[in-house]
Amino acid sequence: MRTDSFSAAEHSVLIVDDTMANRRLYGTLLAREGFIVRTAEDGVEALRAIESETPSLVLLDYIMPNMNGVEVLDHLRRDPKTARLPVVMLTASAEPDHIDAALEAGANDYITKPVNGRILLARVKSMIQADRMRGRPVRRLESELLEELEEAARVQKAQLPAVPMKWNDWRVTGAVAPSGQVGGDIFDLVPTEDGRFIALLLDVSGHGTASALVAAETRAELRTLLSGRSLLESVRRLNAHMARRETGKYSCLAAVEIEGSTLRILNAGLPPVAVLRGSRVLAEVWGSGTPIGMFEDSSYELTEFQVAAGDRIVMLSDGLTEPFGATDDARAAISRLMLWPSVRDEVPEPEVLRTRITTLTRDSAPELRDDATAVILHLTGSVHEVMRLAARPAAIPRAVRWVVDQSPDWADRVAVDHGLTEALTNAVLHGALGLSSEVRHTDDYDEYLTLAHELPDRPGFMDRHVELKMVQNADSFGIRISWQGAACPVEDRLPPAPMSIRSSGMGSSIIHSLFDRVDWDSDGLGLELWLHRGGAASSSHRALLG
Amino acid sequence: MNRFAVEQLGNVTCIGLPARVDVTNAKAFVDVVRAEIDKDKRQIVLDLSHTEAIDSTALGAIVQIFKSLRARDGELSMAGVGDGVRRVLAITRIDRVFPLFATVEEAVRFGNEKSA
Repeated sequence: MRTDSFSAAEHSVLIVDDTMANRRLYGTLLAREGFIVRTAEDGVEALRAIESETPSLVLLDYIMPNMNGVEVLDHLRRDPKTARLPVVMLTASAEPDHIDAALEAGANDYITKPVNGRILLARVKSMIQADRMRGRPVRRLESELLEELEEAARVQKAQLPAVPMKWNDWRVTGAVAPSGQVGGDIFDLVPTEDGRFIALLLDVSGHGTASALVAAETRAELRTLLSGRSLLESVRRLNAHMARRETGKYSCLAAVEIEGSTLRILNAGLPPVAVLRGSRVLAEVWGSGTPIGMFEDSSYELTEFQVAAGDRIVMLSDGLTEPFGATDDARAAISRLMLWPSVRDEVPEPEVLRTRITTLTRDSAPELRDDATAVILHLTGSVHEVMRLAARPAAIPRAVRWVVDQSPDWADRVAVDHGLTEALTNAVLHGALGLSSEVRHTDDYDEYLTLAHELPDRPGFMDRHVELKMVQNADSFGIRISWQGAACPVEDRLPPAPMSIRSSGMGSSIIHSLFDRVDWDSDGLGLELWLHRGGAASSSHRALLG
Repeated sequence: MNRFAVEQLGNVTCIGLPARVDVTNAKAFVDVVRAEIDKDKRQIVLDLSHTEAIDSTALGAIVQIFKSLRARDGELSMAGVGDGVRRVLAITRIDRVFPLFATVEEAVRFGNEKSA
């Protein structure tokens, strides 16, 4: 913690808790940070201690014998000397109604038990600083405010769950890119004791500190509610709570509850939550109810699915859909962020995902700049077939035949045969052997043909290979081709424009035209080719690519 | 598999292509056609009746042959193009460049009439 504008040693914190272990725990945390720590065992002792010397902040337990936390708070607020004394209430996680009672009685903030040390220190410090700032000169306030925001951004980032997370066969990742220093977007991953897993994406109206506070509060409350309650019941209660509080803010919420092979999705106000299978959008879920906190008597509904290995669920905030089209168009963002299911059966690293989000939203029009968040849940376990082929032209037809033999049910033989031949030729000649595609751009085709036949036999080229990995399910068929050596140039990875007659660039045309989806690796050392049954996803995807 | 059957039908040279023409046999294909061009053959028909697949290397080779022939006032056409190959020709727009005929007979008749 920085001390240039804030010295903990100048501030005292009074810990009021009837449990000695808690007093010791909080006291140690605060003392280690430099705060002057005082303690009281109950409400009466607390009021006496405050009367003799007013602390900078009171950390007040909710449940205590004789006089509980709310009663102590009531005394303090009625006394003009302590009416504005910062008080942070400690509430039991199983009793969400205590949060309401604490805030109504005048608590400045609350922390649910079990207490996270980092959050405790951040809240105590920010509360004392907020109290100190009252009446300061404006210029100093500005610099302190900036520091505060930086600190808040750090705390907000630290509150995000560690990703990628593994839960049974699921791989889950997510990333938030706030439009300012702190934002109203947050996501959470909650494994419950009764064997469910819930992923949440919250987008609080507006952005900045106020929205961030509401987001943190909503998340904490929902976590508490989910313990022992269904997603639907938890959301109903959360909505009623938030609506009664009248903060002027409301939260759009997307939530996915996984229980065995059953998936339940609720989406109150966010862009469609997409369930992806191979190259298909199996379903899109939206409009499950009004945003949380908007109307007290809202009703909510869940949409249920049975999931299969290889399925993927993508949740996005509107900061990621609006820059690319309509708010309710999740597909454009899924394509731009490269979030379609991958033969690799894995999810992107959070840093990679955050960089993609930042890069894609950086040039958005100012009016579209918003906090941007994506959460991806991927069910692993797809059945793969793997083949390694030597980097020789003669190996290409054999590999194509292998794929055809492995996938007899796939109707589009032209795509599999012609498209795969093209992709493998590129992988072998350009990727593995490093034969520059520029050779094909010359009018003398003989040089290209000669090199294609001579290169594999030259010393140093003998052991080069290309890997082929195939995955298929009832709806989709995907082939991943990867190599080591020469990266495909960026311009060749893009779908080619309609071409005039020439001998180069035709391979790229064939690949992009014959498959429903072509995803290049960002390093240019591999690509995935996807086909699916049915037409809708294919045509929309092609339109996006085109 | 990789043989290219050459048959002279009047003024037209008909070259039969195998089931696959790709990077593995494109060079052999070019060598065969060039040999015919060097013999002053100007009307060439590629018979794809037995061809199931061609790749972009083969297409590139065909385009090169087309350009060589055109420079010598010659003409290249294709016959017996099946659905799979036709799709690839359409994607690359090559179907707009060469005359395509349903049968070799039609292509040969067309070639002989042009050279008459």
